[in-house]
Amino acid sequence: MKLDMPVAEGATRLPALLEARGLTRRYGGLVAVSDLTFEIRPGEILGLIGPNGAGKSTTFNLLSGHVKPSAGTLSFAGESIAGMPPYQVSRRGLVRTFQHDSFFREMTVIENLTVAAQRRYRSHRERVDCARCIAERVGLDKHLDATAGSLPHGLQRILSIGIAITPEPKLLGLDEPLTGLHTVEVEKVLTLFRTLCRADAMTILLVDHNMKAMMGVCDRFLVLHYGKMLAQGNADEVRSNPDVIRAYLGISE
Amino acid sequence: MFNINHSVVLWNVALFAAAIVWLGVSEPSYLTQLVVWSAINAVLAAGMRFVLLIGETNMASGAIYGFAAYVTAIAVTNGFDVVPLVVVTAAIAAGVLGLLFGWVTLRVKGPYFMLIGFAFTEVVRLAYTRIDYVGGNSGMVGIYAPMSLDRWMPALCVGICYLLVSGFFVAEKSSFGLLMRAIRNNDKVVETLGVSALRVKLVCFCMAALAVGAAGAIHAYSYHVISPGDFSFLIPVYALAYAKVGGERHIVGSVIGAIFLTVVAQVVQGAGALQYVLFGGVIILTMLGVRGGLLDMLGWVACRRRRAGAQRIGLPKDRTSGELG
Repeated sequence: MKLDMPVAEGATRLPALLEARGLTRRYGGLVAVSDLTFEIRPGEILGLIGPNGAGKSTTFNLLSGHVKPSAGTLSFAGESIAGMPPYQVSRRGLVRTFQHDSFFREMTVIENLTVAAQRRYRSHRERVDCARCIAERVGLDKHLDATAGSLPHGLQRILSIGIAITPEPKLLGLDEPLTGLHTVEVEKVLTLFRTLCRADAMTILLVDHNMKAMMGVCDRFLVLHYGKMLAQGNADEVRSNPDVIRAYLGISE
Repeated sequence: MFNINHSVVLWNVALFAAAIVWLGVSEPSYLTQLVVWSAINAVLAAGMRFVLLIGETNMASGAIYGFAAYVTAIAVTNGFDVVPLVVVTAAIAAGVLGLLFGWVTLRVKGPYFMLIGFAFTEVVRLAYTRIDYVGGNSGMVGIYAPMSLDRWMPALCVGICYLLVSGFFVAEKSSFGLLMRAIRNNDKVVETLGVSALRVKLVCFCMAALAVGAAGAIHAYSYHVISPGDFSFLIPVYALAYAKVGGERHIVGSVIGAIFLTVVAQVVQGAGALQYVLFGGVIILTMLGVRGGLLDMLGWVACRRRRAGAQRIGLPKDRTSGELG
């Protein structure tokens, strides 16, 4: 599975897929996210980590257009996307999932995925075919006619991922996709992430609390703390960063 | 799953053809009138249900329905007598009104959207009472189709209503129908897929407005007299009752509910002031008695009969669980 050279390293020569400069979001007096500057490189799996309330979700919402930035610039594939409505951001190739219920509860699995193929194909038949393909790919082909709301939790998470990859995004943002999955499911999902990244040339932004999995799959990390950027770097750099140890892992020395 | 049950379609078309033939050969009477009213109400109910698919209750349909009826009345009293053209014009006018109303209001959801629709219906109704050109409080009279068409009007009206309801059915079964249901489930996720939820809602609302507008034109033709009081908030409330009593699960439910309650309204009319109590009582009883509306009751009966039949010829029970297609 492991490639000789990490993709992220080779990818640094390419221009950034997403670039944030001084990204800030204030709610009244509260600064949820303050002066974030970072880039997401094409082909990498980037982990966004930080303790609860660090601003991970706000950052996610800023990128996907669900929250408008108070200040700063945001460009995706060379185009400014700051202040764009979510569906416009998505059309440019940035698709995200939500922490809870990132699917259509009362609809069947195949209907969920057919809706997801809406903009990828023009005819209903093509959309249904595409939905079947995706279902097979993520391992939901035995549940095509099951209502999404009645699926076990793990399969609901997988369905959410399936919906998000159907439009073939350039950047896939996943907000806590591993929560509530058991070890075998986590392994399967991580393998899927690696394939999406290596074979489908998708770039992935990952937020999750499962540190073991994150350390295993992410090429690079951004560490947030109280809405500020605390550290950036690969697993070893982040793990050995004294600021991160103090703030995030909660070890006081 | 996306296949439409062919035997149901066949039955449906056969019943419709029979109704049209009957309407064509029989003299216009109270009974033909009742069929036309049922058909109009079926369109109102199906239109209400169509907007319910995106999760909204469209209380503005009273205003849209009335607006189309008034457009028809103005056209007819000014000498325009090509019936299909008048109906199409009224429908387009209603569609434009729906577009304007929806463009402004579909940004809010749930109870807010419902209340704005309710207020809109009442404001538009009150506006008619202040405009002398449309007869103020007393409304407009003399909305007749040309004499030569008189005999064929019931068949024509029911035919148009049938096409409108069929249109809703086809739209619901398409990709667009899936999108509408997805929006009711989770509009945020729909937006992350590159689809503007507002645009889908607007198209849905406009389609309903067009159909309800056509029904409004037919209303004007079949009553010959309209007044502001005909187009109060009771129109959408009744439409909601037809859809719910009939069964929301399938569009056939809207048609069954509309026919059932139209007939009930006629039956209880003799009871004087008590009629509203009786009418309301029937709605409450159906809602309490069968959760899925009349549709589920009929489905349950059909299921039992099939099961009984299956037992006679010795089929296992589990092969007989049927659903209305």
